Amino acid sequence: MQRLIIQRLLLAVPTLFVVSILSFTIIKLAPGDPVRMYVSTGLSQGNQEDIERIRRNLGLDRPLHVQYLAWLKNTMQGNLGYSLSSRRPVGQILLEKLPASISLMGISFLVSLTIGVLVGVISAVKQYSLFDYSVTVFAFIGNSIPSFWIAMMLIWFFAVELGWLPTGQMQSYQPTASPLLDYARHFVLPVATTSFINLVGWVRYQRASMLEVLQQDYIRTARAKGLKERSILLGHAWRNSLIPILTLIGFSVSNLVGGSYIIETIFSWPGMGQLGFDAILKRDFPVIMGVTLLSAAFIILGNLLADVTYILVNPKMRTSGSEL
Amino acid sequence: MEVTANTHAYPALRSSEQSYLQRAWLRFRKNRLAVISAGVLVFMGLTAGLAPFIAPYDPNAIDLSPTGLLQPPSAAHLFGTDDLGRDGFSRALHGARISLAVGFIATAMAMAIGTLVGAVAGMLGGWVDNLLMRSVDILLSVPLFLLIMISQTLVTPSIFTVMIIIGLTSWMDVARLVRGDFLNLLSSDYVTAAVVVGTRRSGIAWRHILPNAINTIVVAATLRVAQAILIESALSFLGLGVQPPNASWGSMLQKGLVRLLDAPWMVWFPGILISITVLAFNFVGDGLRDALDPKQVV
Repeated sequence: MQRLIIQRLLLAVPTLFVVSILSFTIIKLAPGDPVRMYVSTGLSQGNQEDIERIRRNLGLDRPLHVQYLAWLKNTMQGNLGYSLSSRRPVGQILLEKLPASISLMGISFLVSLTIGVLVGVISAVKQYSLFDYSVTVFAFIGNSIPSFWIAMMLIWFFAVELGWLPTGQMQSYQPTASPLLDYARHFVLPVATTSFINLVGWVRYQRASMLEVLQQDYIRTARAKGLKERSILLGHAWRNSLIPILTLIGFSVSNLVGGSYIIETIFSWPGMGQLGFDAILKRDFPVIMGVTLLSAAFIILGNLLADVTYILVNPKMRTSGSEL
Repeated sequence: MEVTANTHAYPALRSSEQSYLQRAWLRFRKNRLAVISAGVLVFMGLTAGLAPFIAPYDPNAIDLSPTGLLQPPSAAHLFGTDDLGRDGFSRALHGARISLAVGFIATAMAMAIGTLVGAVAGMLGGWVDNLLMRSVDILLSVPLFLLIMISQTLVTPSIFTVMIIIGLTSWMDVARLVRGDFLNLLSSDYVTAAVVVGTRRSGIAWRHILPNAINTIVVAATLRVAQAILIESALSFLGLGVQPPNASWGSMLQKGLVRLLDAPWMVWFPGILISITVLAFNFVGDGLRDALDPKQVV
């Protein structure tokens, strides 16, 4: 078992390398001269000589692989470079943006998982009922609506029409209520949107897995020996149906990260997603690299977590590890 | 055995001449949601194709007069007008062309690459399989949407670059599915028979395995179109897709975001259209999955 986990860990490292090489190459191929961008925000008008000198100073005149290796060496030492637009260390900017993103993703994850598991279980227990049928249709619909449209409709209805909630940002400029309440009000719509798009997956998986467990022999045995239905469903069936759900938790990271760029942009959420999108528009290469790498690290870590939980919760994997 | 039993149950279907496709169609027809969805998609395709003839106005015609700007939905403008006085309905019709074109072409690309990679990996096995599948694993760990956004800054964003980039980034799960089918079929008796009589490997792949993997491919393709339409709308929404003045449902939503206060209809209709189209593709894909499964009897 330990060997398997170590094997997975070792696979994560080359993945991160490939991601960094891929994004580095794409970014460097992109048109738009970062030096001119740098100059136009800094000096008033640089002449050609100055531009070439700055290019040399930034190391942007060297061949691509040399630039990559230099970037890699710095990154390994914890130096992610400086933002071309704000001149601040990329690592510091990322650290500032991280809490907003993680809190939004974390809360949405908990909300969607809780509701999804609950709805999935009820739907499975009452299979073919009206509730179950509506849940299935809802799952299809939820899978088809673009997240940013849900966000806009929520903003339109709850913020514009009813005026109950703010349209964006994480806090008011001049909070009228207590800071905590102010935060809470700002969290409602982004959390609702993110939870909604992740909810569908949990409902479907929980329903399918519960249905499968309910067909097992040991459930029939439990019924045959006259256990209460309640304890059969909760104690025997539900607990076992959670095994596949546990392993899926890790994979959900990739969805959360992928959705954050667009949702944070709509809600002006001061997190990594918005940072990444802004950096792309500004061609701020060091920041783009930082965001890409951090996002990839999150996703890879999530996948790793999924693999490890799969190994841990599956008793077969504990003894004979070579099958995976 | 099963088949005989069932032809008795359905006397109308007793003909033994019934082809696989006929039976698939009979099964598909019973799925009401899938049939309705297919109808919606045909209708959508027709209106998109005929958009220049159906659209009541020029989709890019600007009307800045007070009676033309930001008009709510009415008989004259079914979907209202936007902040430049352009007719929402006409723009939505033309936007349908873009969404559907991107959906189909990006999917065709993804299917071609995915099928090829999956078939080669499944057929050859060994280190080739290992190399290809590990690459797929790695690509699936990449923050893809971020990469798509970055790639769009590489080029002048346009409908063609959107198609190509979506196609290039969405073939991975197709490759996995097709490889799985190939591995399964490779161990089946009829393939062993083909090997025994000395059919070449490429012949086995093309003539014996691929036709049997086509179900998986068709279903995956239908669901992929839905995904591609969603990605296109997200890119256009962020301004990284179709460029003004051309309309796409996503870019119409982008314009609507800043007008939520005074012209919410600008975001109602394009969003509803995206959702309906994607939903229809998902229902049809689901219906096809059941209908094309040869293990199911009518």
